[in-house]
Amino acid sequence: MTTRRDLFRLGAAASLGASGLRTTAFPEHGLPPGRPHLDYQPVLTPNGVTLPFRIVDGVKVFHLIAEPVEHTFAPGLQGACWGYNGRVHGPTIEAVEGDRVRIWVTNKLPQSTTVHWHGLHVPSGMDGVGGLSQRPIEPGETFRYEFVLRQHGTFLYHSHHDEMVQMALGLMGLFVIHPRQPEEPPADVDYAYLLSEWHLEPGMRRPDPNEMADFNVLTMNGVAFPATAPMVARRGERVRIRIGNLSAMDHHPMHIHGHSFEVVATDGGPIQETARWPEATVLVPVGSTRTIEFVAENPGDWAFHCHMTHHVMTQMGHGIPNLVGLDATASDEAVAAAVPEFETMGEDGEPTIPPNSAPMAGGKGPAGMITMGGMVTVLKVRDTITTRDDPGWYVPPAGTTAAPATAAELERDGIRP
Amino acid sequence: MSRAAAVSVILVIALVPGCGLPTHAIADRQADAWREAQARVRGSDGIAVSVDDLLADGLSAHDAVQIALHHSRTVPAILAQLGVDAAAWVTASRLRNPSLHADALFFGDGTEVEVGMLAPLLDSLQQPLREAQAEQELLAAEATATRAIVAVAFATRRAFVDLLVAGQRARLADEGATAAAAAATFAQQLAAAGNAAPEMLAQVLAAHADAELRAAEAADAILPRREVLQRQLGLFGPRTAWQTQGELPADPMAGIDLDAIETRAVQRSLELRVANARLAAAHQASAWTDRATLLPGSEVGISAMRESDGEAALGPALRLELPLFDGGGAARTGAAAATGLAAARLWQLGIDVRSAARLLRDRLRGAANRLQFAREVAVPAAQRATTATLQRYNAMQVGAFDVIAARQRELATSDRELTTLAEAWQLRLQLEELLAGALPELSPSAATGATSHPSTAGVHR
Ligand SMILES: [Cu+2]
Repeated sequence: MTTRRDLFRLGAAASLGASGLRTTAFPEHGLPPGRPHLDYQPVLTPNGVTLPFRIVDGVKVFHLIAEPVEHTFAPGLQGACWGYNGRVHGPTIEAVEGDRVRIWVTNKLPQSTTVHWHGLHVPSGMDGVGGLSQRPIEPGETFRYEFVLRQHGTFLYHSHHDEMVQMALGLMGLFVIHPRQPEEPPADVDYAYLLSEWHLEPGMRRPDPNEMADFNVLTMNGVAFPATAPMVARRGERVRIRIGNLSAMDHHPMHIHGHSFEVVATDGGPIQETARWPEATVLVPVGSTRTIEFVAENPGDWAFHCHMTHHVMTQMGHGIPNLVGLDATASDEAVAAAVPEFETMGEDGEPTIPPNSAPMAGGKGPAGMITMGGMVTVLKVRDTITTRDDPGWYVPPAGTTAAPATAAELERDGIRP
Repeated sequence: MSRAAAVSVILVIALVPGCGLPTHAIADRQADAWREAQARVRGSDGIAVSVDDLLADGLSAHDAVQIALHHSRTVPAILAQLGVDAAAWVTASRLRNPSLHADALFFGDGTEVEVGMLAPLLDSLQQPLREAQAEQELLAAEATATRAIVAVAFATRRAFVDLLVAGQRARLADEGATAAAAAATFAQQLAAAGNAAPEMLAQVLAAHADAELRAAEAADAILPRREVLQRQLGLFGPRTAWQTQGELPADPMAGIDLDAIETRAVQRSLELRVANARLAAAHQASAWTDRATLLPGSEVGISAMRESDGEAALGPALRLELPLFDGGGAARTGAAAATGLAAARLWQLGIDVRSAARLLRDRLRGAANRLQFAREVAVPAAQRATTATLQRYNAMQVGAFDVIAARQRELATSDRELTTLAEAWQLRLQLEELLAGALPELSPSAATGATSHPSTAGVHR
């Protein structure tokens, strides 16, 4: 492994500082390929996978296959999407600063495509913008992208050809580059999320790329709560969460409960320690990444979610009258009066909903229904953990859960409800 | 020849008694017409129970035909008209009556008396031809009456279908109004909760008012159709309170044979029978006109005279019209032309009957195909649309208004199905009427294919 001192000895260390390109000059053949678990702590992509590679003559070789994918957003909700290597979104590409990577891209889509390496400082001809950097990859063709990674941080890859359609159908993924020589202590656990949004009416199978405003499926790593796998940390661990946003039209204010954090990096590079401040919510704009870090010091189950309330609903209908303030049965009674067969809709007498649709909200929680869906996951902090698998629901110590008032308590505090 | 023999010959020629059609021929023709009409109309058998009993348990199409034929005064009127027409022809078939004249002159020495009798010259030669003509005209009159009775039966059935359709259309419009009322109630609840903009509330209430108006129009449209049938049945007073039985039968093609329709229509046509008889009559008329114009208005007879002195004498008498100005040529030409006219009418009528048969058959098939499409495709599609909207409603994707709108579209499709069913039944009845021998008056819609039906749900308009 090449050390930072080696780089200086090469006489090529050329960080240009906060105001310029955060690019380091590496030899054209790159440095020896960085090795997982030895040279870096691999990132965890909940509900996702990391793209495997092989080393060929000192080059890390990856293969992405752009293809149609039958994808499950949430239980009961499938989509005819486009993704990479059979997944929505594509696998997380993970490498180390200084690696030379060769990424083969095979197009098995019914139309031409390209791949853009979002945030990476690559040669212009490798930038993947259809028509600008290269001719598009036609169906059946395989193209080579090859470059040396001159940065570290959280980046993205996505189609940059017929972007509106191809990104709306899911052609995107995370690109994580670890530092060759970390300047800060590494996190104990390193999670990565890619946020995106879709328009998929109940009963439809194909996300609608023409939608501009009414996105009704909001996903983290391609899935909507309650399908989102939880993050798991041991109390006292330093947690890093990388958040990329390739939604079509929406920025997402991502909020964590029970903790505060600092934004330590963007897709532009690391933020100097002196420039950070504590936050509990970070706005992740469209086409950017934010990396946050904090110490998980508060045991419990903590929601981590977009704070836009319509983004924590799945397949929310926006064409219904406002029923707040009405008798709950008023709407049903109107329908039953007009449509005699309404009462006996389903075969079992239960009302039926369209095939291929998910409830708007709802996962079952330890204390009842969780009335959120969409862009929600849970950080589970425990005093002890043995794996990163879901440890189940948190059991709070006695007396630390909100509970109904007793008459004696109210009397004591002079509360007259 | 002696004088006496000569007088005898003249008497025989002039006074052949009893020649011509008998008076009972009138009643015979009436009976024949009624019998044949009954044979041509299904359900024309007599009423086994009382009219009141028929009316009591709901009026069927069969009941209506029975009442119209047996209870109303329409058939007696038709048969009386036949009597009037037949009587004229029976009369016309007889020999002209001879005339008798007597003169008395009073002289001083006594009275002179002259008595004579004259009969039309050559009438006995024309009379068989006139009788043959009258025979044909009686046939024509009888067929005309038969056709009229058949037409009464089918007019009754058509009126019955019209009434059923109006009732079913009103029920659909009622369902549309019910749906609109549900929307209105819901909109008012939303407004009371502060959740409906005034414009939205106004739109929903306006749509409801419109639907109620359409339902009322559809209900009012029943009344005139009911009265058409009342008149057809000849009912009045308490007996007008009947209700119809059942709905329009679902299959307007059931039990009708559409093969060789032209031939069968021609064979059964009463109009063609009338026209045939009229042609034969015109032939006969032309023949006797030829004879009658030989010595027009001439009469022969005998004359007897007794002088005042008591001497008496008997001798032949003759009165001749001199064809100086009218030689009868125009009358003969006219009679021949009338024959040509009758032949041409017969020919054209055959064309019309065949055309009507083809038109009604093809339009019935077309309507039946559309009906099948409406039933098997359009209505189920509209129902599935409602079901799908209901599912979206259950998934909270759309609101009650969307479900109600889907329901109203479904009702509009059902209204279209009903319109098609009604059209098919009217065509079926016209075709049946044609095959029963009566060329129906083809309505403009039957002739042109245009339809105009009052809309009830109105959404599809
Ligand atoms: Cu959001």
